Amino acid sequence: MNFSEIFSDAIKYPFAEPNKFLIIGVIALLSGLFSSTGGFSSDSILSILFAIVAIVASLFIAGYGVSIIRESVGGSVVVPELDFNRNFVDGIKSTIIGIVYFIIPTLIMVILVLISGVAVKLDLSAIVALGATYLLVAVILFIIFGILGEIALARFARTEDFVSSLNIFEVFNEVKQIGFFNVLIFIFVQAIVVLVLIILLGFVAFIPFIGALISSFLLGAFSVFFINRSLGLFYGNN
Amino acid sequence: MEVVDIIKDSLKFPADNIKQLAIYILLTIVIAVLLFGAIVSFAMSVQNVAFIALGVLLIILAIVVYFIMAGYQMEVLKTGLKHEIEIPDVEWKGVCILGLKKFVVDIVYMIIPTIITLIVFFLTASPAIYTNLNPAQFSSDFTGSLLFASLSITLIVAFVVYLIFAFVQTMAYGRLAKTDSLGNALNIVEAVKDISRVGAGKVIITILLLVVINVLITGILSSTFIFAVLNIIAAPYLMFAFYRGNGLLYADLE
Repeated sequence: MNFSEIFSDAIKYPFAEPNKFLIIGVIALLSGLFSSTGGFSSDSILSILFAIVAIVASLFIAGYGVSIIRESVGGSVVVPELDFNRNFVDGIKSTIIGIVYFIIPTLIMVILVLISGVAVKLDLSAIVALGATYLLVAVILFIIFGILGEIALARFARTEDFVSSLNIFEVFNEVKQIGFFNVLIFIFVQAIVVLVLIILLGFVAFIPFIGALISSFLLGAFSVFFINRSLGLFYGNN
Repeated sequence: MEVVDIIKDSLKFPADNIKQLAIYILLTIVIAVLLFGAIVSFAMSVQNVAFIALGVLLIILAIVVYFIMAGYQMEVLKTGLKHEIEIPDVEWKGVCILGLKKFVVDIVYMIIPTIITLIVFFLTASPAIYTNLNPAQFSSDFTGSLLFASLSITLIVAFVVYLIFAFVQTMAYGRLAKTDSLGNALNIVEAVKDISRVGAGKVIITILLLVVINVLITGILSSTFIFAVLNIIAAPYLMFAFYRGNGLLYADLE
């Protein structure tokens, strides 16, 4: 299955079972609403409650995404059922994976900046050069770990082995097998599709009041299905 | 292949080659970043001379990427020649050299009409200049109208000449993609004969249609700022379609 087939499948996938699309969309919307309204509440207990609801909802969705990947790796066209327990647990695990693959480059950058920050002279050209170098290193690091993180997620979905997906070396080998460049282009195309969707939905958001709700509902629901489906198909292919 | 089929195939083609299209879009972004970096470097060079070297390096890199992109366009054309659906995975060095050859073709096919235009300009403007060597008199009615006439003639000739050479250039691209030989592509006489071999009407209509579709869509998207961002995807897509059509058109010569 080449890119074109993967992505045309993934784009049609969210509409395969409209019921699930609606449910996921509503949950995503609620999660977003609860996290933003939680901040406005002066009653601390209420805001904690709101935050918990928002977190649980997004964890659930993340886990459901994992189940989508799992189904897609095998190549099946089945849209997975919503299984609260399983999805919630998977969500926690996948979020941890995401955090790990995000923290590592962040830490590296922090250490880098701290070390060299001591020795900088207040010379404009040196600052610019140093800043540009930091930017370049950061971009490269985050791209690399982004690639590793996506494949680690797919690996976790396939094997259900949480610990092995945290093993960076194994994930690295897997990525090398698929081809770093291939994964990079894959993520790039994913990003383009989502970007196009955001731009188009930006117009929907102009409708007063419910516009923003509708567009974030559509965006959230579509992204979950599209991103995970395409990742699963891509990973299963290799 | 009939004109309508060529157009339909060309417009559908990039959708079947999303990976290569994505790579091309990525290259577009890379070039933009490199050029931006070069501008910043040159601006920073007032602080530290070393920045000039960095700027030059970035420009060299940008040129290399440009050649790669040009080579990509030729690869797209090749798939049209062979009626293949998929663009093969590119081998970077070969593609870069191919792009360099295309660049040379572009220069040659740009220089000749430019020279012709300049000659025409000097020929038509000389009566105006010689009747009165005093610049202050240029606004006088007689000299003014002579100049106006010379400019209009030159403009018309320029338009026609550039247009004709653009069509011949598409044939030259076909020759380059088919034989990989620069000498073959720069053989203008043969390229002109190719137009009659394929069919002048077919060439004109196909190329015109492809260009018009390209201009229309990019133009419409550019009207709004938000849609203009979609141009990053649309322009390469249409570019692929154009070169595919170019290749399909030339394929008839097999």
